[in-house]
Amino acid sequence: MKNEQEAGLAIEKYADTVRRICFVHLKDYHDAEDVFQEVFLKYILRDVPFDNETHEKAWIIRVTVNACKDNLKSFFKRKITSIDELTTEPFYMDDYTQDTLEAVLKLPQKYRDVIYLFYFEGYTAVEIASILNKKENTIYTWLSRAKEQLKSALGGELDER
Amino acid sequence: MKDRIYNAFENIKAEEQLKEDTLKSILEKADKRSYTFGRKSIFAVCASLFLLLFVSGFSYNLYFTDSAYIDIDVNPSIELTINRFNYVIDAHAYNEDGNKILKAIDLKYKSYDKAVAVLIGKMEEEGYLQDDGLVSATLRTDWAAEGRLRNLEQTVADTIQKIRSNCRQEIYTVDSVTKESAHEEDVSPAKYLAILKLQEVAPSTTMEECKNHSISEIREEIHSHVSSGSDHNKSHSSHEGNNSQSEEDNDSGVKNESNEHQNEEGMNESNGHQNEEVKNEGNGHQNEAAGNGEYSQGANHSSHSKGQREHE
Repeated sequence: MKNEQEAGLAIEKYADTVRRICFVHLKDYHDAEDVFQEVFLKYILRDVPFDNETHEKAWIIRVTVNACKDNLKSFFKRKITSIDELTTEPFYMDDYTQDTLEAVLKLPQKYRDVIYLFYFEGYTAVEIASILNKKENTIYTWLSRAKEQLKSALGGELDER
Repeated sequence: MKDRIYNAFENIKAEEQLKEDTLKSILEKADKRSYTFGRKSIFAVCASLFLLLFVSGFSYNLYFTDSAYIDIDVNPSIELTINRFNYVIDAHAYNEDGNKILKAIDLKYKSYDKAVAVLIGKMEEEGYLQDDGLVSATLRTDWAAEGRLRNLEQTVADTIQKIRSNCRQEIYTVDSVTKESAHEEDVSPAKYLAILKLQEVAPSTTMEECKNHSISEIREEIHSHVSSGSDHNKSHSSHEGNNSQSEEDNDSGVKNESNEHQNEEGMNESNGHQNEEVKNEGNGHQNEAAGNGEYSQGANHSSHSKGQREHE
């Protein structure tokens, strides 16, 4: 079990990552709160040390994705949220950004992680495959489909890289 | 597209409030978990450790507390220490011959009857037991004296009888004072008593000289002194609470010989003086003289042992 200082450091370091994954999956601040608690509680209770920082970060991402999925499952069992609530976001952002994020959020759920990890975190398809425990080819497929959908949603003026 | 998405995501940051709340709540939860787990398990571990220590310590103590001794003298002179479960917890040799025997056999943690059988058997094998030889055994118990003594006696007597029926045997019980004194001199109690008697008739004798002689030899020595010299033993000086009187008398006249053990119960009326007049001729009828045999050898011994039991 890790101490308070380590917990604080880890939260400082990974909170944004976790929050973004929460964002692409969950719409509710309270759900994000739940996921945060679960992820970081697991983190500080973990006794097995991480090999390195990459490993640590990958672990955090995997745990967060799983926690989000679990939360969604129970979320739908617990209560039914109207579609309107999905768009209420606590973040302040300009229209451009909002359009972009909305485009991402309109993607099927499984594509969102891939998009986030690929474009923001800069993971390769191979790394994403290992983090999400999927086949590489699946990730390639998801990635190309997600890109296509984004392109059409955002006007397709964005170049591939 | 990459930059656009990247920038969009960059707008999303974990709220400070969220971080704070998360930290607070996970520490609370983790604390609670480890606290309850810790307290319970520490308590459980302590309790079981304590119990284990207590039980094992107690039984260890019980097992390794001596509660009886059997000393056997042929010439090998060996003492078995017995715990309250009738298991041998220590075997000690008083002389060289005894050491030799003990080196060859392992008596520890055997039940005492088996140990006695093995011991006597080994002595027989080594040729220490001879026809008409003398086997002396002394017994002492700290605990449940009466019944237990009789059991010990019976076992020792039967064992000797079984292995070598034509041996003489003497079985005494001794009190703790005699036992202690014998221990200090590093001889078995039976021999100690015999040596004391020898010293009475031959005051120059030392314990050291006698240690490696058998009781029979010491008896012979006494005998020779007595028959050659003046009759010292009239004085009946009592050693260590009159332990030695009976043997003294025996030696002054006719050897007290019996193939059965002489410590039969029930003859507590006889005293040392009577023995003086008695001449025990051989080994016949006198052992079982429970009711009437004040003059018998049996009575002689029994008074002896009885006295000591009361002593204890």
